[in-house]
Amino acid sequence: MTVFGVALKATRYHWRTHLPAMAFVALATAIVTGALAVQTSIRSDLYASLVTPLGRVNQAFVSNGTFRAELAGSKEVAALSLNATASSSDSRTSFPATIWGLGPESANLWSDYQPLFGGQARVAESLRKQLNLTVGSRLFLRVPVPNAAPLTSVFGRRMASESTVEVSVDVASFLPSQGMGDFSLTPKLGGRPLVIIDREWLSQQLKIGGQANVILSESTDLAKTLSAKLNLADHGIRLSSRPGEMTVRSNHVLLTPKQVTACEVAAQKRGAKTQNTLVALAEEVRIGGRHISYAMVAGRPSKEPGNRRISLNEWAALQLGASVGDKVDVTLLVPKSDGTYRHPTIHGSLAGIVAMKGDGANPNLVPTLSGMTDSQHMSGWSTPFPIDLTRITPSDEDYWKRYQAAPKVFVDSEITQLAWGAGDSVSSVSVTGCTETEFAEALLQVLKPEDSGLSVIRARDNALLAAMGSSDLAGLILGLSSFLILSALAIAGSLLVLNFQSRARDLKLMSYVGLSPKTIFGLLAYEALFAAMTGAIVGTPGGALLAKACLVLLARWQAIPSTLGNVAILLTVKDVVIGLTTSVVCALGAVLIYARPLFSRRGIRRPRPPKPFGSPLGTVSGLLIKSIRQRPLRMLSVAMIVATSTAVLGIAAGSYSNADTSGTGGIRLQVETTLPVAIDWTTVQGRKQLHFDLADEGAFEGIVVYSLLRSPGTDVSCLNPAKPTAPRISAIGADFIHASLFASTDNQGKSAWPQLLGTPTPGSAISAIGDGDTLEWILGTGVGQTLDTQLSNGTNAKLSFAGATHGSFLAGDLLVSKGSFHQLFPDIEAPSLFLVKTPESKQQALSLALARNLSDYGVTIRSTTDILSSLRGVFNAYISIFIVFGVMGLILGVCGASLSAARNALERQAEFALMLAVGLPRSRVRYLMIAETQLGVLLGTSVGLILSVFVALAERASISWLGLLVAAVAIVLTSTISCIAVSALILRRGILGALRSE
Amino acid sequence: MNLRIEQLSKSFGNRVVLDGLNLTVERGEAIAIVGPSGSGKSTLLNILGSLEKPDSGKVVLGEVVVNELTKHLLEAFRSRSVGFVFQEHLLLPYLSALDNVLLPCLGHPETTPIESARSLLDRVGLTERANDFPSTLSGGERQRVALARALIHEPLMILADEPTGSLDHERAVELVDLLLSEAKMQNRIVIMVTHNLDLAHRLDRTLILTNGQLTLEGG
Repeated sequence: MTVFGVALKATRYHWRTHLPAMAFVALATAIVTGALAVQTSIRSDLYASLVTPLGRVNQAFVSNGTFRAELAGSKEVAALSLNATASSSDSRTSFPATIWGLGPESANLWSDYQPLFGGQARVAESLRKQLNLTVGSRLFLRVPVPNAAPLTSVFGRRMASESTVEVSVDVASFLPSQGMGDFSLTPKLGGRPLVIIDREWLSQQLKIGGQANVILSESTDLAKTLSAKLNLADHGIRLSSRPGEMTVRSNHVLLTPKQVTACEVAAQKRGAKTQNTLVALAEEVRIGGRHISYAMVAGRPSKEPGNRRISLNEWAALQLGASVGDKVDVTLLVPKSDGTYRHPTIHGSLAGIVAMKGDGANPNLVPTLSGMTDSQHMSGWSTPFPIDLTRITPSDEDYWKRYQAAPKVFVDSEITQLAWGAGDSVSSVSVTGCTETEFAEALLQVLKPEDSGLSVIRARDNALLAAMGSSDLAGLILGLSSFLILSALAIAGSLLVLNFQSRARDLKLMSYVGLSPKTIFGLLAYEALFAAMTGAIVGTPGGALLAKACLVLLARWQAIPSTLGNVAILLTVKDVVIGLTTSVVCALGAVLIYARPLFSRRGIRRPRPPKPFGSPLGTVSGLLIKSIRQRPLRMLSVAMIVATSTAVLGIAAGSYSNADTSGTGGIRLQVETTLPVAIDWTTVQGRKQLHFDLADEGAFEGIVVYSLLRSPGTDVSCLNPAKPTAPRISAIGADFIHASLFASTDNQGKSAWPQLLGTPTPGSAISAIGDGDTLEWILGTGVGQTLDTQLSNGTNAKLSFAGATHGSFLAGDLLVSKGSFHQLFPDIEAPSLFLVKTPESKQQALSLALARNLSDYGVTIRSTTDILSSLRGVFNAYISIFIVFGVMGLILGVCGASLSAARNALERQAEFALMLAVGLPRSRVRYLMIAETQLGVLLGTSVGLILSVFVALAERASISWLGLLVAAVAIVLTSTISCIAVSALILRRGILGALRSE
Repeated sequence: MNLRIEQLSKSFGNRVVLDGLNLTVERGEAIAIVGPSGSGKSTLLNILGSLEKPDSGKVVLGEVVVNELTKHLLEAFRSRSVGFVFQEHLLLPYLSALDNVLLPCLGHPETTPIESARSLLDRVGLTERANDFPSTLSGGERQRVALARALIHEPLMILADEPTGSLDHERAVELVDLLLSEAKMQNRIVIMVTHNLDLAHRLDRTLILTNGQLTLEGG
């Protein structure tokens, strides 16, 4: 017979009396385990959605343009990844999609990869549903052409029909969700649906055979592996030599500023000189009555601002009959945002005539311009801008035949910059003073991959991080319910000790037969342990049920995506152990605290003799005060539970976010496009250029549109359950800033918007504004702090938060200025996010018109109130859970109050018996039995109410006075009734026994 | 090894319960203490069993001055030298008869005298009921289990406080005889408090406790 064995027998014998205590331990365990299970289950689902689809891919090497597919080693996979729109022969609407061109070697990375023939596609389930596809369906994909001229430049093809290639494929099979169908380099849930086609076939369709823009690899050090293998072509750089000089051009039309710097450094290393050129197209060059049309103009940097000195090559001078000093008018073609062109004329004087050698006849100064420089004749030009082919003369054609696109006019690059928009662009760098081989070698040494928009994305690391979840749901639920857990365990401990107290005779016997206090305590401790363990074990499956209920509710209340409501609950051994240990340890702690009065240093404490009747005040209330002073903790513990629960309810009820529309900033529609829209559709002319239906014009009357550049990346708001690893950045213009749509203050309380207007210094932190809650809860930063983050293009950025918005529908984006955005995403030039203010009466008509007319761009239109309602839904869902826990806390508080009254009555039944025996009225005895507890309830309710009002005032939240009053009355009434019931029961049963024994 | 009580006094407030009480009990002797209610019989028993401390005086068992023992030694003294039998057959309801007998040995699993317990149950006539629980035993059987429990650790002294209070006369006589025979067999001291003079006369001496003093009946 051991202490352990006897305690086990005692527990089995007394299981009925321990049942309520076990139930409270089970409740606490269920909450702890359930909270952990919610987190684990969500993380497991996120893992399945974000990490599993990666197959064996660890890292990806990506480019803004393209590089040789053969760069990929034997264990790597070259791919083409492009955002596109997809439609079927049956559907009139296009949906966004991400095209992945993959080869058969992809089986190295995905064991279930099925090779495809050219013209076949494997399609994500979500797209199947959107387009109602079946195997064999014909799918039309509108894919942007890589390496195209910048959209905002004169050479940019701004119409979707021109900047994209439509390819049609047959659906071969469908991609399963949480498998390859969810593959993405940027971990995000519910991203664009995937369409997989054969890479080689796709590259041929796009006329970039043998090229790729992504290398997928199992390697964890892809940068090191590939950097050594890169050649200039992979950097998108092309060297062209002519006698005495060479020219550096980009396959992507413009050289990046870092590439230009690298050229200068490389040339310096070889003792060579460089000359930057930015070309433009002159519609006309005129001297007096003579002119030439469609001449390439080479812009060269000048030290003199406003330099209007113009040079012509000999051919042009001859055509124009020009002499040095003549006045020259150069009319340029400059794109306007509405899709039309300006024709500014530059007036200057002829500063010189360049001989037809060297720069005077150098077609390498002009980058490859699709449809122009690859044409055999000028009359065969296919230009993005309107051209009058009748103006092309035989002399022009002769020039084209001899010198191709060699610039005829030389001006300050400030002038040619007009054709490219803002910035300091360079289309070619001429190098003199070294050989091509020497320069190429030096340039390769100097160039870093990031200079050319090449970067490595740590796809698996990012996915693993994202799978941790955006918010600590377990912490949140545990935090919200901590008072409930502690209350339940405290009550459980109290009940266990109450059971022990009711067996005081057994304890006395043990002491009399010679058991040491240590042994007796050990017996009780084991018994408490067994009871707590039993409750905890029973509560563990309850945790799974609670987790499921939480997920279903959160999904129903739209705090998490609806798919997460169907997640299978996962209970790990760790979660179970934590749940069990927490409950058992806390319950035992409570037992130790409550059992203290049972033991003295000398052993089992003898029952207290009844207090002498009477009090310093000589009244029953005086006796009550004396009793409270003797055992203040009992009343205070009831007060604490009730106060916390009341405060939680009061604060939560006042925090409910109502459906006001202040977070919309007056904007009604958010319009997103898959392909950027370079033509301003907000103007009549722009809509005409985009071939909008004239019948829709009425819908556009009176609208105000803010166009935002937007990067790919992940939604950083609470709507995204995955941890954002590459935040989505949106660029706002001065119009947005000056409109003061949303308040955003810095730490000094001043408006933060003007801080975005400053020109960012390259390399320094970029000023940004984000949603306050997003910054605090999801990104773990705040106003005045900086965030180091990887962007969706693989580069790293440091964002400094100048201010925060609150309650705006743009919570999913971090906002920066357009200037800053260009530094972060130089290849994104046109907007793809449009915020539209429109009269309510026209909202629907406008939505329909935009859906119809921007279909080629993959348009998605959402009401800002819907977005706001989704965001508020998350907040309100948490508040609802908070309220549920608050109500449960109050139920526990009332239970605790009743138990406290019961305990008070049982502990002091001898005292009460004595009072009854000496003739004290039963009502007075009942008053004494419950008054102490009820005082605790009243105190707790008052403190809770004051606290909730104080917090509401501090947070400027609304106060639900009626709600608070109803809650307070309900608490006091319920606890009074339950205490009276308990005391009546004890008066009827327990006191008589005590009276007899006395 | 005898028991000596020297000048033992105990008061509760102004009320003197024991007043310089002296007594010597020889080993193997059984004495009965009788007296009116509130005369201090139970208090005397509690002091002898080291459950209470006297205000003054000594309780000496053999060479040990019980009331001068430290807390730790007192526990050891009580668990080794004293066996209690109460008026109410106090048994733990969740332990079998055998386990209840073994209760004083709890915490010392290596020396649990299971065979002795069985032997004791045999001697008190409960061999067949060893594994039964208290709820299935009669009042007399329970009290016999309590008696066996008092003897399990072979105490020098058995203190019985109205051990037959809840039994009818026949069962009471049976129990006292059993107690005495067990005590005599092992040469133990028995001090029994009772109101029943018939039972008291079955013991070696009967002492009356009045006004804090013990006097021999008829003396």
